[in-house]
Amino acid sequence: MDLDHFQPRKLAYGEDVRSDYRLLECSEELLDTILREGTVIKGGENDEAVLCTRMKTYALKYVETTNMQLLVSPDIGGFENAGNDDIENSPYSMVNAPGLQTQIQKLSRCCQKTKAVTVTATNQSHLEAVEIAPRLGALEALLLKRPYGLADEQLGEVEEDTMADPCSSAVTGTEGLHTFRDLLERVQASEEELRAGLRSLGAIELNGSWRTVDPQYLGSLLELIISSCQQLGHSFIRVPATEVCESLRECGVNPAIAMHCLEAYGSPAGDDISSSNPADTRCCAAGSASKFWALNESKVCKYFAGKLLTCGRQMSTVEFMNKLKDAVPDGMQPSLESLKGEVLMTGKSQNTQVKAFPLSALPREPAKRFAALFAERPKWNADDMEPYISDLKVPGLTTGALLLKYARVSQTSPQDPIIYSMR
Amino acid sequence: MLIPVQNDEEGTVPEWALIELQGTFESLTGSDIITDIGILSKSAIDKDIIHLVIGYHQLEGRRQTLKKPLLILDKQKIDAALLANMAEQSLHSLPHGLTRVKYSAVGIVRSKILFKTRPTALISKPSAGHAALK
Repeated sequence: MDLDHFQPRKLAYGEDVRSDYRLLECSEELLDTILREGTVIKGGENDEAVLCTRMKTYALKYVETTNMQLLVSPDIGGFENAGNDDIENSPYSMVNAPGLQTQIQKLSRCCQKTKAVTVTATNQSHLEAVEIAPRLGALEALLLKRPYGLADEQLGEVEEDTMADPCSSAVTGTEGLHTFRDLLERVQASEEELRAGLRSLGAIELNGSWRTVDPQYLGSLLELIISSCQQLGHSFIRVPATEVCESLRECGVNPAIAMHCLEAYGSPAGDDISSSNPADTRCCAAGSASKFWALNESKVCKYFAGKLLTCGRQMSTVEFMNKLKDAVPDGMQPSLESLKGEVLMTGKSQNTQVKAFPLSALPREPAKRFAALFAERPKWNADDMEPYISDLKVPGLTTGALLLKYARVSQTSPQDPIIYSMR
Repeated sequence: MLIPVQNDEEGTVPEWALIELQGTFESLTGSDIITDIGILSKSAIDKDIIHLVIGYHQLEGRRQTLKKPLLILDKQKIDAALLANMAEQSLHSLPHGLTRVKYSAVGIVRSKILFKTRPTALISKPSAGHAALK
């Protein structure tokens, strides 16, 4: 607003003064994103609204003020100062102002030479945009309604045969299935955060719908892959994706799911140039061009550990490790270290026991996660706690800050380890 | 439910001015409509101080840069044809989730003139037609 000249300007209301503009307080970064890319406010009827850009999610807080705010737009408000510097007639040239009435009259006269400042809107509140972690609870709820499992495989076969099986009990049709766009609408997260959430749930896109895979089914596929490798004489660190997918297809497994299992329990091991048959890539999921995969020892061991300790079973550590060595494929060395985040040890040094305590079963949201951890064990040391909180991401808070916020830190003496307990 | 918040113009939006006062206006003449508020001017003594004369009061204010900019949004209805068009183009739009409403950016506020001191009374009777600060 131009008040650079010494000329006073009248302040007046415009013709149609609005009071329904929404003011949004945001960072320069968010402002730039809104102006260049556009954003969207998302929420169901019972949700608090959030603002999502492509990358981030922001909560919207309503802030009122008791002050009166007058907004002047540049188009109508009159920023062009029609008057010029007229020092002689300036009200300030009067050193000993004779009387107030005279002053006011003089001011009014000066104002007539300049364009008025017109108020186009009034305001009493604004919205503050605060960056938050995405609300992915809805995503889990939506996807866990119809995880892909054995029944779906059978359905897949039936569809290939084009004959309906009246005895099939699998749910048919697209009820309960969601496309990416569908999920983007219902989940209060940005596009990138939604993709990351889908990755962390181990979801796969099949026929346009995103689905989680039933963990037990996926585990059984892992065992199939292992036995297939053993039969065909392949090393676990150099599993030929095509061959294995094919041999599983003969057992009725959708090759895309077989590939998904390799991705869940392993990583690409690099291409072999000697195999140049283009048909080799036909069963590989889109985007994974690697012909060889290496199974991840830690992930495989965790699977077998979970299998030994189902239904809350506890067993002595010694017995557990022996059984685990037998269960895992030859060449893999299970260790308690590699099982962090999957099992917990209880008891004193000589008689320790293990039980299953997988990270995947714990709540995502920080407050609930810490509550669950302290419900399991009232006191934790840093080492044991780390694998169960390292995945928590809250904008503006490091893991250390999260610990300070949700846990009570204590240390009996400087040499003793730090202990975390419930606040 | 999805409500787009976006800039419908080319380039950036214009910068608006914000004047903040503590209190509300009341008309001395008793009419409901207040048009003229007062007179704004810059102090000759201190360039950072801005004067606002309302009736027989004078207020002193200062320009403050806002910590974070304020974006001014106008709630608008979307017509059906545009709705379908947006659904195809925009990343965030979905036919069944999109509401008939959007927020369009009309301006930015980066600084405000805040009058927070008590008004000083100027000794004279106010002329008819001017508003008085209450």
